[in-house]
Amino acid sequence: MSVYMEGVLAIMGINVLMAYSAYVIMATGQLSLGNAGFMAIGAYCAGYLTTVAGVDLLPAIAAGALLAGAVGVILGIPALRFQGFFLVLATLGFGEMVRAFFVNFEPTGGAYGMRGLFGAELHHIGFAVAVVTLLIWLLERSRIGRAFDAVAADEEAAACVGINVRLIKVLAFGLGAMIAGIAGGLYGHYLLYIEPGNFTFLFSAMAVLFVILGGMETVWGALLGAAIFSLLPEILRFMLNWRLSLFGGVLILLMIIRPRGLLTRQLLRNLIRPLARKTTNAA
Amino acid sequence: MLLDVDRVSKRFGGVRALEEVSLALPESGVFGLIGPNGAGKTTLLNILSGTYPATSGSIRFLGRDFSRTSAHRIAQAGIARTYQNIRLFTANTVLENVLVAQNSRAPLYGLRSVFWPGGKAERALAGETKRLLELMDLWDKRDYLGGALSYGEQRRLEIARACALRPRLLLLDEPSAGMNAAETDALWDRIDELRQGGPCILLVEHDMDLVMRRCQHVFVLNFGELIAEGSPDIIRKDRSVIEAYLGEEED
Repeated sequence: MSVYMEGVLAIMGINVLMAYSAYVIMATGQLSLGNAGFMAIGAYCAGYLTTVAGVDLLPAIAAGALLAGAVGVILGIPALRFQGFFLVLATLGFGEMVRAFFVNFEPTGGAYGMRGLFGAELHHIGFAVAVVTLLIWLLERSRIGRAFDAVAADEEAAACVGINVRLIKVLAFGLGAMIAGIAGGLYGHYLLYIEPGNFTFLFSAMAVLFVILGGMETVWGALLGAAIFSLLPEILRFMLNWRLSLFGGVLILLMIIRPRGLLTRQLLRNLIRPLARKTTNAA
Repeated sequence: MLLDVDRVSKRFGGVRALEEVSLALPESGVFGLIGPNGAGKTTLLNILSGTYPATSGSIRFLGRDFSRTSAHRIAQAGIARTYQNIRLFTANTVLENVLVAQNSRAPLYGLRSVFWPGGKAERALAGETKRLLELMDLWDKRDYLGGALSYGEQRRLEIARACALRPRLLLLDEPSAGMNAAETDALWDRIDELRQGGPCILLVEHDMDLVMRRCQHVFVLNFGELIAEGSPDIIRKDRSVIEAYLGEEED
């Protein structure tokens, strides 16, 4: 595989993880534009542990994910007070706050960032994507997935059927932050360096965009959205600077044609039903 | 007593929605809560189900104080409800709507089902879901989306969902609104079946006739105050009730 291809796939994997981190939060009807902040926390924590403390890559990334998840829970609790636009603004502020923190925080290199990170390869990223996909798939098939749906649809009715709405929302925030933390740890050690400028608001916004375009009803929508829209700018590279305009055009077109995203639960059901029928007929 | 409501008041800003309402419900039976528009019926239901707290007064359920308990805990303890304007999870299937209401009774609040969806407890819950949906004549439509059901079916699904909590007290907010007489009777046959060994029912209803036929005891609210209670026969002849519904006579 060419170095270029490998790089594209690695970034695609990171994008898929970031889409998942946005998706888990969106599945409960919340929206976070601060996930790059969680990613930064995971990246810096893991990077500090491997370069300064001499910890192995895997436990370092796990620690970064846990720290990001813990911050997600801590942010998720006050976020319960915010709805709609206010939640979006609060999380956006959080993301920028984290970035500004690392610009000024000298132990992790300040604005210059950290060098000397290494060890993450494409197959590590692929493995992480596979494991996280499996976990989210299991989660959304389970009773907890139904509770996520209920909270997203109608918080008051969800509470009246015995669902702890606050717990579910904080759980989703913690999980989303943890996944972003994993993405951050891998990203830093794949890129070999990290600096605060890597974790801008744009990254958080892209993560949300992947989910909206791919479909916010299933994990496969998030996967597909992130995969397609990571590759598209590369495929359109021959168009030089026009490609970004075309990319924008595709986004608008998609929102008109498939406002609920490329993959919906209904579409998946329709795809799976004939397959299931065929197998029962054969048996 | 199953439920003891003691001098409960509710104010929204300067508006007095409920004024020192007291009532008590025993373990079983069908009880009516009636009153003209804006009398505070739904406000009382919202307080009982924990949607918002009372401004003053106390609520005891199964001997425990529930005045400040959050909605999900009240639901778990055994007070379930339906809504006047149906509030289903319309993007989920019929089956999922009922299943999610069992989460608080599922192993580890449903968390176990992430890694282990089977097991004895889950089979028991699945059996319960099937019985409830069969009783409400919705089992054949279990894979339909909640939003794709007809109006009457949505009403029945909402009752099935509430019963999935295995409540001791079921609050029904105008369950037969918008139905014709035949549909209403069919619905009540099913509710009667549900009641076999099941919950006590507090019914909020506009239809006086229905209340008089179905309820053993009726509470009447007007302008946030409890103005009368008693058997349907007593309520029917009560002067203050007649005035509340027909307007006061002028001297």
